Amino acid sequence: MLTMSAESDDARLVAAARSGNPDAFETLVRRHGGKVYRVALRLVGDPTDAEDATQDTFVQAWRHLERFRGDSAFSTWLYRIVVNRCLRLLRDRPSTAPLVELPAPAIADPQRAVEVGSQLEAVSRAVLALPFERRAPLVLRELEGCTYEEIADALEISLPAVKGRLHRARRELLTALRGWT
Amino acid sequence: MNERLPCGADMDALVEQVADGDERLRSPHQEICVHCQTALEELARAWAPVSALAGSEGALPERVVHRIMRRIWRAAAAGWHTVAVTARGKTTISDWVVGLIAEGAAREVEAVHLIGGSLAHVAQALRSRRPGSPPPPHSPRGLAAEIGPQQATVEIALTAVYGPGLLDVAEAVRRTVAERVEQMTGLEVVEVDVTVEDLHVER
Repeated sequence: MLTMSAESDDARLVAAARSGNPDAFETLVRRHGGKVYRVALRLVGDPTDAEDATQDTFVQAWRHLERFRGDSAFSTWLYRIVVNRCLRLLRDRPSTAPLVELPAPAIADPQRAVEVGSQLEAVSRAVLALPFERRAPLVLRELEGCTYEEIADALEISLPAVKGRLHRARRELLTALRGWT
Repeated sequence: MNERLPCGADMDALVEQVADGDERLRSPHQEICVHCQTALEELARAWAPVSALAGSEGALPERVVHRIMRRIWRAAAAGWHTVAVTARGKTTISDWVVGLIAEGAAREVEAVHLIGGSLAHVAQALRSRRPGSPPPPHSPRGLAAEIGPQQATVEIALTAVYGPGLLDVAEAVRRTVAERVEQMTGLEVVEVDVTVEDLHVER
């Protein structure tokens, strides 16, 4: 039996979507929507803005499907689009103060839930406080588990640049976190 | 920047080790060095919430999936409209593009928070050349019709911000959308239907 990897399955769905099949595209939206939304949420902070960026990302992906050559994973291509959308969104709306709202973690003990919840909120704030050029690689690496190569591809920067920015971002984030623990 | 521990270990390297989740993979030196061990433990404690955040999965809300797919279906079904014909070629615009222009225009209105989607219909009536009138100069053979001023109608769905009168918001959207579409495509916008789908309340 032939087992299809997630990537080759994506390629098949992209081909179907490219030939004008919105149902195939919907499968891709459902498969990758969570990732795109999470990245957007951590980059822009506000859930409504994150939804906006996610929506625009997929619409743009649909319109430019022929530009997706399959040299990188479909998810990496989506990351590239969403990071750019978020950057534009933040430039267009500098007045919008970042509002952080995260899904409540599933923890039984309410006291502990409050503690963890506020910890998560504090990390989110610390991430949002990083400059965009370092926030993006940090979110892709630490929160989405991308490899350095995938990040270089998504952000269209060199591998040493990824390592440099990531390193600085980690230092800055740790400094912020150590400040309140 | 390169902070060093009393044992000479590079703090930066320890940060990398912890962030990569390798604080337990200790080097022979780290196995016996109390400075390194203390630093690694402290860094790991500080870093723990980052790992916790990574695990707090946020799924894409179902209504966003619907909103995306509504736009995709519309784009897939969009019609094409020839808006200008010259001797050197014709210009064709998709009503999907007219819709995107409308969205861009609506975003310019301050009280608009989010666009749910748009749909444009372009009246396809090509005005036939009056019988007996001379063909347009340099017109290639076979082009019997010239493009008259075409009309478009636009439907737009949006989320407004809490506060301003929604009728005023709709009117501002109507005016801006008509202006931009006319400017960018030459189409005459005869109708803009605005649906206020949702309200954004600042917390």
